[in-house]
Amino acid sequence: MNVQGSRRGTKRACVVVLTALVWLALVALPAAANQGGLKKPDANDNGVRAALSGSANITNNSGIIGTVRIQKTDDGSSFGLYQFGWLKQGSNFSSSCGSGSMQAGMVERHYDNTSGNYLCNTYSGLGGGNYGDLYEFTIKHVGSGWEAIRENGNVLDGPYDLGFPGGLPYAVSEKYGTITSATMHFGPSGQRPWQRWDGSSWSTISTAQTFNGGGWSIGNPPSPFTISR
Amino acid sequence: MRTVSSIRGFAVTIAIIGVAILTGSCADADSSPAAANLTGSPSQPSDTSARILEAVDSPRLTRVDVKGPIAEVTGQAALTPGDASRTLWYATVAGTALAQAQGLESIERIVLDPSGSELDSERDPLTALTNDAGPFAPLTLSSSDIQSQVDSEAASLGVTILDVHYVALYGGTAEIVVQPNDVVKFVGSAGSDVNTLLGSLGQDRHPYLVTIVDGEGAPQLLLSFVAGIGGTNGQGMAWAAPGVQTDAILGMPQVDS
Repeated sequence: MNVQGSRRGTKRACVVVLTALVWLALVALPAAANQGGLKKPDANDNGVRAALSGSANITNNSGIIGTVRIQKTDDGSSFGLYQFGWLKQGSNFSSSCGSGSMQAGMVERHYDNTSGNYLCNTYSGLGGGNYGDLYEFTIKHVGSGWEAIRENGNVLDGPYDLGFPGGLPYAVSEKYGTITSATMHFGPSGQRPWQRWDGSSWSTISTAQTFNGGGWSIGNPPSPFTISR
Repeated sequence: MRTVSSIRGFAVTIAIIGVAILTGSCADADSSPAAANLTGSPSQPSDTSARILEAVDSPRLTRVDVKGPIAEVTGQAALTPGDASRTLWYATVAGTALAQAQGLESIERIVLDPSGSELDSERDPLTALTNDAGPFAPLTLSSSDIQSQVDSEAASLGVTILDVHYVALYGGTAEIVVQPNDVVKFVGSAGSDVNTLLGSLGQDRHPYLVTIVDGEGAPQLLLSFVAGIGGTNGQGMAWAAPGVQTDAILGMPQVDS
């Protein structure tokens, strides 16, 4: 019996299986445009907030968002999310938020499933109205659903019942197409830091996990920290 | 000679008026028959609902009703992936039109499957329109305008236009169904390609729905927009088939691998 040959065959089979599994995982995973940021794993928070300020240089065929987000899970078992922040998009691009050039506040929602719609409401008139103008973004789950709240405390968007009351808090920058540069400060000095709502009180997030789709420079919590590229 | 010149002048005037009337009629020859009656602002909810249903002209919508301060639209869809999202867009356009025409507060859309079970429902507030094209504004884009636009871009984008379903509301809008030669590539870079396809229908000047299907006709990606609902700038919507990779959907959750 040729043991070495048998081991080589086993190793070869393992490599083939592993390669196939990696390929399957890459194909099966949902598409995410290039995102980078911070998240608090294993949390089940009911809100997140931060003041954001920054800037982005984009091309006509690209765009970027900078948001605070609650995501139901980070393992692909649900695409449930609610996020609120800045959007900047070039004139030759159409996205889930609409078509053509825009700088606006955006609130996007997805129900607690893996096959539903992404619904994106865009708002003019937040702060100075331009991407990266200093503005405090808050999302929170109240009795009847998720709300995006203006910095004056009034409800801007929602409530929307998305089938989940809590999840992981995120601080996110996401770009699509080719952008020149982007910088977003989360909780600039003297402004509202990146905070989580546990259903009864707000607290500043001091530890978190980075995620990086490639090319992002991501600071460390607590605020102030910066996500840039 | 008063008689000859007067008669000739009268005849010329009548001829000019006749040509003008005929030209006006023919300009929207491809539009819904209801279109010519939609420039006014109807006052009776039932009249408005009927006119909206006629303008949308799709079996996807079954009811357009006023329920207190809410425009409630019921639609139907098959159980195949993506079909409920397509119906949701038609319901959103119709509901927003009804809410604006009747001064309502919000729009409820309910999508049912063939058995009558609920597939999807959404409720959003009515917001101000960001342009002048109200639901019953004159049709500035005809069906043939939109067909010409997408036909002119189809070859360079590598797509076949399978259908343009015209909706005679908001100055003229449509669902455009396209079948790319290379579905994976087209969907992957849909952000730029869809924008090119839309042309003057895009830039959020009119509502739109682009449905991208594979070789078997199964929806792979939907991108749409309707002004006057959701946010002050309107509401975008996207749907993707499982596993589809695209640059056009913001916020697809970051998933750990």
